[in-house]
Amino acid sequence: MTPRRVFSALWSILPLVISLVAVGAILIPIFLESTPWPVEARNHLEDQGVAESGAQNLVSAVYLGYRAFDTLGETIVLLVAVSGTIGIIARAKGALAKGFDREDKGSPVPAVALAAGTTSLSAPPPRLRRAKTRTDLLEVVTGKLGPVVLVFGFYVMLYGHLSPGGGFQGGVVIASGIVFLALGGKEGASTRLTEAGVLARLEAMAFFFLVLAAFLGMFMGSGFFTNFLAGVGLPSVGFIILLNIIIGLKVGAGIGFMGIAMLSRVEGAKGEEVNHD
Amino acid sequence: MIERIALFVLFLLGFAVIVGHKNVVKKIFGLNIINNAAVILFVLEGAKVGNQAPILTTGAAVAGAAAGSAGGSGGAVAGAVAQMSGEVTPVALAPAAGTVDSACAAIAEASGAGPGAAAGLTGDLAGNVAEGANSLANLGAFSVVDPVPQALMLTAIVIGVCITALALALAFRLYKATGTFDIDEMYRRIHHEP
Amino acid sequence: MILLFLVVLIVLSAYSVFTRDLLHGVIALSAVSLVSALLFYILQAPDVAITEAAVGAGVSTVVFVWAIRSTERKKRQ
Repeated sequence: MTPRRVFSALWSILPLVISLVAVGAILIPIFLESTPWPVEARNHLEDQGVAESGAQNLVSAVYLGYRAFDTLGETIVLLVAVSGTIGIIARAKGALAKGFDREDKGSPVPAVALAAGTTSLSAPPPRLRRAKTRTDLLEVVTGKLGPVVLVFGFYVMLYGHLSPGGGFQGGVVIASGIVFLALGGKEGASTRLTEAGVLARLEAMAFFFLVLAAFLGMFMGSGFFTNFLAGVGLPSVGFIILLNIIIGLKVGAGIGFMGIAMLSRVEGAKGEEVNHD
Repeated sequence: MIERIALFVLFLLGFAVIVGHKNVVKKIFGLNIINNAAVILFVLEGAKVGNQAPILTTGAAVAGAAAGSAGGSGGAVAGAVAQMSGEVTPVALAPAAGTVDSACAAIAEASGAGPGAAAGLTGDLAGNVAEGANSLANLGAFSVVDPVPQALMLTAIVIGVCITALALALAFRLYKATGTFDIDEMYRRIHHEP
Repeated sequence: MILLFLVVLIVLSAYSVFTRDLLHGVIALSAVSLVSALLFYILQAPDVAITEAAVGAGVSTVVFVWAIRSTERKKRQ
């Protein structure tokens, strides 16, 4: 080990050490903080959270009632991230599943199979080459479990005001259910959920309804994004349930769209098409 | 305290991966690790002030709603009584407060009203509190975990997965454009191309 | 108890970043999410636990596996 090699090794590791020391010095007071956690918020919520918002799940009362602006911002970030992801990937040809690309109209019969004479135009679309990873076990299990997971997602979403659950939680479980349906779909049988346009439209409509629900408080006279049902005479938990449904559909459709757009068609490392239909 | 040190180590590990590794996908792993460390820190700190999940069961919920309707201005029983007596006195209702009568006597005593007011209070409150003495005792013992950090972390986790997907889409495009995941190699290929 | 979970988290995260095979790293990251979900349940945060389990072991792993299968799997050192 010549001194020169030792010196160059140390020089190459120097930025890492300096940045670690800097970040450590900035963050260590946060991690060693000893002031007690302020409890005024918890006391107030435990006293009046149920009376003011109507939901027994205090976490739902917080992110749909007291801090609803955070939720609005999160839905905007979700929208931007999903459209950005699909937009970036769609430029590379053949990266997305059929129907998600703009140029790809979804050819019913693979041209290679036609040329090879193994199929004709009147036959149903065959599997071009069944990849080793798509075994029967995977398809049967995910195909059978898909609707169950979807129903569970709807349950978690709708009971958000009474038990652990709500918009975000139910939404991501719904997204998992949609991915299951896409993974396990039998050849020739397609559920409406895995088509390209449905999920994108669902997400956009849910975002529109969320903004509409936010402005509804203003039209009813109580302010932007407030729970107006108490003034009207209906139980105020209805607003929580409505917002939970809207957010659940939005998150589920957005993340599910992203999941299944990446899922079916994967380009191999050397550029050949591996069609996972 | 030592849990916080462990989280600090996790955070530094993720940060070292982002700065030190050359592979783009490993950097995205580091991003995920940092996200995890921050979320666990918030939830851990919020869980130190209580010992129950923030889902109110029927007893405490109904008592809270009833107390809210009793005072008119909302709030615990102590707050309603303080309004009626014109001053704000923090009254600590111990968990072993016993029956409604003894609790009302204690409140009236603490706020300086006479024994006649205590009797009137008892009749009022007994009609308003729906459940038994248990719910009145529950009002004073705040035992629920802080729900605010949990609500914030929900949003953080969902945004984290979206950012991870976006970062992986960018890494995918970089691979398609340059053919490698290594940033040094990428730099060389980009700068040596005609 | 919580410290034990945190130590397991640190070990799994270190494995996921120091292994050469990217797919092994992704599976380790999914295990980190699962242990985190258990930790959240112990810390009396059921909502966060549901979200972390569904996101970490579900969608995030799908996205990572897509990115790796489309490109390359072994980190060329």
